[in-house]
Amino acid sequence: MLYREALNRAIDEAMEIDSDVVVLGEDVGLYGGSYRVTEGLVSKYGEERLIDTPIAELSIVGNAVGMAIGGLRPVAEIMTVNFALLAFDQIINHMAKYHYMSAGKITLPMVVRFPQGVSRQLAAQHSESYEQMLSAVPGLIVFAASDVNYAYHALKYAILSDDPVIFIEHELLYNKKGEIDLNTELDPFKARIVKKGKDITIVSYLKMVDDVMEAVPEIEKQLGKSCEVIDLCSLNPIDFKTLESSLKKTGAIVVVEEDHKMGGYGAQIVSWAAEEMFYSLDAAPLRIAGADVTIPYNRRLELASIPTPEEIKARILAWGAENGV
Amino acid sequence: MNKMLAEEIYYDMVLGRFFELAAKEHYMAGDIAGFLHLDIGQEGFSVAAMKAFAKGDVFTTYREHVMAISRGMDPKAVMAELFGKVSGVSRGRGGSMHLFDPSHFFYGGDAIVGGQIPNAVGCAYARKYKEQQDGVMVVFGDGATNGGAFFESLNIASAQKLPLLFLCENNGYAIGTKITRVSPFEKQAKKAEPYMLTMEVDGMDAVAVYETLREARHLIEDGHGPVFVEAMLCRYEGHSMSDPGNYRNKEEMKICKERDPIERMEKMLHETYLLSEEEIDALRQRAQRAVDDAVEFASAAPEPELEELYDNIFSKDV
Amino acid sequence: MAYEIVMPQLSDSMEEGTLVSWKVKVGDSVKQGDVIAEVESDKAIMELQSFKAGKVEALTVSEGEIAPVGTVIARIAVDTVPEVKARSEVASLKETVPEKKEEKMVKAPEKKKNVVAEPAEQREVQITGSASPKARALAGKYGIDIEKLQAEGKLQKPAHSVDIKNYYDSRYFTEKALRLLTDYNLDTDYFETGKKQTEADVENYIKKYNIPLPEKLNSMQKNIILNVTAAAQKPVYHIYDTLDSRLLLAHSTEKTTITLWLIKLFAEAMMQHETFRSTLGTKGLQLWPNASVSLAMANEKALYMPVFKNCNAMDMEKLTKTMEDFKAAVKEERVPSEAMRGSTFGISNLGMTGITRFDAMINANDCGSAAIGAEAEGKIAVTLTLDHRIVNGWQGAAFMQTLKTLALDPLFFKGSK
Repeated sequence: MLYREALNRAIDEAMEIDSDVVVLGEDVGLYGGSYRVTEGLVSKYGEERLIDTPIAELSIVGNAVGMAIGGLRPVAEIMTVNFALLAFDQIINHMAKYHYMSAGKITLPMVVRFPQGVSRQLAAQHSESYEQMLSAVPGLIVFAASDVNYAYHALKYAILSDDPVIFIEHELLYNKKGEIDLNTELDPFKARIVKKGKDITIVSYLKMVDDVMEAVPEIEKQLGKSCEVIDLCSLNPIDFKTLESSLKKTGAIVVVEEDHKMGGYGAQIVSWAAEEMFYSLDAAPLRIAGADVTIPYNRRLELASIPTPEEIKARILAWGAENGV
Repeated sequence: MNKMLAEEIYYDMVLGRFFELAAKEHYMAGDIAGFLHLDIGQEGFSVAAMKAFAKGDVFTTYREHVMAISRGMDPKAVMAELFGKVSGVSRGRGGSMHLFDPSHFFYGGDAIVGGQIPNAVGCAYARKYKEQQDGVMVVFGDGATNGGAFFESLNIASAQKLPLLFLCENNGYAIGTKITRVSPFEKQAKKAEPYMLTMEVDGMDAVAVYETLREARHLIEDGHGPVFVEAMLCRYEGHSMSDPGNYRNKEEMKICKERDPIERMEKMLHETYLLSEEEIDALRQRAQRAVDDAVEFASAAPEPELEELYDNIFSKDV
Repeated sequence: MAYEIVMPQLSDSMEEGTLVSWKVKVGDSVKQGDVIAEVESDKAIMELQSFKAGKVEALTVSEGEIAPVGTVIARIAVDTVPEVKARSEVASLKETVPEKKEEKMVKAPEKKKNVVAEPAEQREVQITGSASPKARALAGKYGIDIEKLQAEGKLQKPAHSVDIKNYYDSRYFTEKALRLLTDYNLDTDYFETGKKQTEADVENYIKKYNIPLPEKLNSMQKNIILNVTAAAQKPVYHIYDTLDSRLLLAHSTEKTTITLWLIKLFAEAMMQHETFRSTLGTKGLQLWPNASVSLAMANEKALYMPVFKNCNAMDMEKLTKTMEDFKAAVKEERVPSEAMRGSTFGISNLGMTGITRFDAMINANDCGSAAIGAEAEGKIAVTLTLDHRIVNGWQGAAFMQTLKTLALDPLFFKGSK
């Protein structure tokens, strides 16, 4: 099953369970979604529940907030996070705040989902990542789906839960293959241990998890150490428990993120490690992040602006040698 | 309009004015802080709008105290909210600009100019989807009609034929900027004309506001799609407490106050419904007592406990 | 009663105001809403109204004077019975309110922590020298002077926790003691420092505190645990009966043992009862054309269930050969996993140990097992353990009957030779 099919299945099942679930966004209905996530759903549930909106992101999220107030469970699709910037007023001032500032009288059971990140030469205005901003907004749950199983379970949970959820996907993951495990219940707030290890904790999320996993065999071989790879999954709240038990074991932490390093999300993890886990640290924490530049169009430059498996490997090897890891 | 309703509207208007005056006094005394936007001069509009649209959902702005009270929220709880107390409608979380009460279908209190309009559009979609008769009313100022959210909403609401009443509270000023300096029109209904039926009403005349909105509501309930109503009115105070309002000259304010909605209503009660001076006075005294009680309640109410800081971040413990 | 007018708060950020001008003087009468003064806030000059009607009693701030917000600037003798309490009274009322604003500023609440902090004493260590935080914490705990040891060249620079640990271990434990600690998975922290701990010290500790030797399970042991756990969850029932042992004993030799004859006997019965050649797969029952029997064989450490595949087609010579191969494999602990797959029924023979009767677990995917006891008074006790999902009681009883008949049938023993 493909990642986008898993998302489709999650939406489909949620719509089946609850007739209050509606999907809105640009091209989500008759067209089937820009990344084919909502493919086939309009023929099953009708245009009333798969609402094709104008290209007006502010209204997509703003209307979803109103739909949630009016008793529906809207799932808003924004074509990419870059366009979601037009809706940030609605996301931050309305979606995130109504529950708190009404002292819990208003609940907003809604999801805003979008892909983000560097794909293939989509250039400056279609390649950004904004998990760092969204995770900094109290009141928003932020999930980042890096694999098929999590994509299915977490999205279904998000749609059927009563809280506003930002659901982050990645453009390069839509055709990733995987299986859904229907026998095990998945806690979407729990970080996923992708690979067990005992010497280095590597924390990542979204597409970078795959890049880390590609780099790990060579890192382990050359350093003679084993890496524990953790996919954060829930970016807000963070599953510090899983991180803590891993870091206590390894004493060394590396955070890999695709976004710009300045003000990037990984800084939060490193700050936590320094503040809360200082005496467990046996090496200086390492952050591998994107360059602080606008994402360029040219493929060579584009790849140089984000971490690649080669860069992850080279940086961790150099860091390992320097820190006696 | 029958006598009982006329009296009710009058009472709510006076209650609203006394409430706002008390709020002003206690802001100056430091009991209320932050931004405080008073509705003095606009009470007839605010009360009549709530009475005419008694059943549907209401989304409105940060100048919402009078609407909230007229909608049925307890003046005590509203005043306590202004005082930031735990007995306030939002437990002191929201303050003057954020009064919410889903039990009265009041999603009030949005402090982003125009930000509530797309929410009302979504809510109207939900009502239509659920085949619920009562529509949605969204109140916004003339200033909000210059923003993108307004135009997006006109477009979507009319394309979807949503049961939505756009109610523009045109008091001529966006904070201190005269509307004609930033918009080609004095009357903003022009912007809505290509999309939907528009109506205009004297916002200083509570009866006219009530009748116009009732008509608009019937159109919406009949599946006519959205309707735009513009009320021309006048706020006596500055935009908020920190604004002396000196961009309007004395002559302009004098003409304004000659249209005073409370005096007009009083005159009507007296001449049409034959209420005596004493009867009208009794209504005023009742309103003053209610406001005094509200202030006393708010003063004595406790502050929220610090442990509450982390409550209601999410709907349940996540 | 006097109504006090204070320097008003006129904006969210105003802390003090200038009294620009008075519009009234002492003795003047004022109506509610009358402008009495002009005040300059941080944002604008604004008019100040009286909220009560009455006579101006006093003006306590002069024009041009700056006063903090809340200072009384005028007093008005109210005409009628006052409806609002004087400021000072309101203030005293407010004091009964538990939380004051100033306190709110300094006493921030403690945020729920997701993480349990390290013990305090580890944070207070004053360690000099070049080392990682974790190494410092460890050095503090062990009382190791990193800087001194690094100067003497006895410790790596910068030191990591593993260096501190190694230094500590080698200083306070002999090599043999350390090896024993590793075997028993014991931490060096359990031992007092100050003297070098020997192997004997560690042994004493192990005996004193009755520490078990942890032994890791090999893959075979893990498999067996998985197997028997799965078997225990099967819905089983038992059939208890005996076989006549006379013909079996008469035909058995050192090579063609009773066990081999039993395999032969069961294989023949299985060919007559197809349910005993069935297994339960994920999609339903699977019926196998040949009889394959698993046999419990053990060495000192582990139990194996090698399978006599298609043994209905084997003659005694082939069976004997297969048995010899299995015996050798079990002895060498090298039974390949493919040799333990494909059976539908299992036999466990404890007859040689003298046990008269017991019952056995069902092996892997088998539909049942037979537990064979010792020969006594011309009979051998047989207990069938059967998986009721595959074999019902009637089928089980019929199978048992066939076994008993075959055991008394000379033709069976002849034909098999």
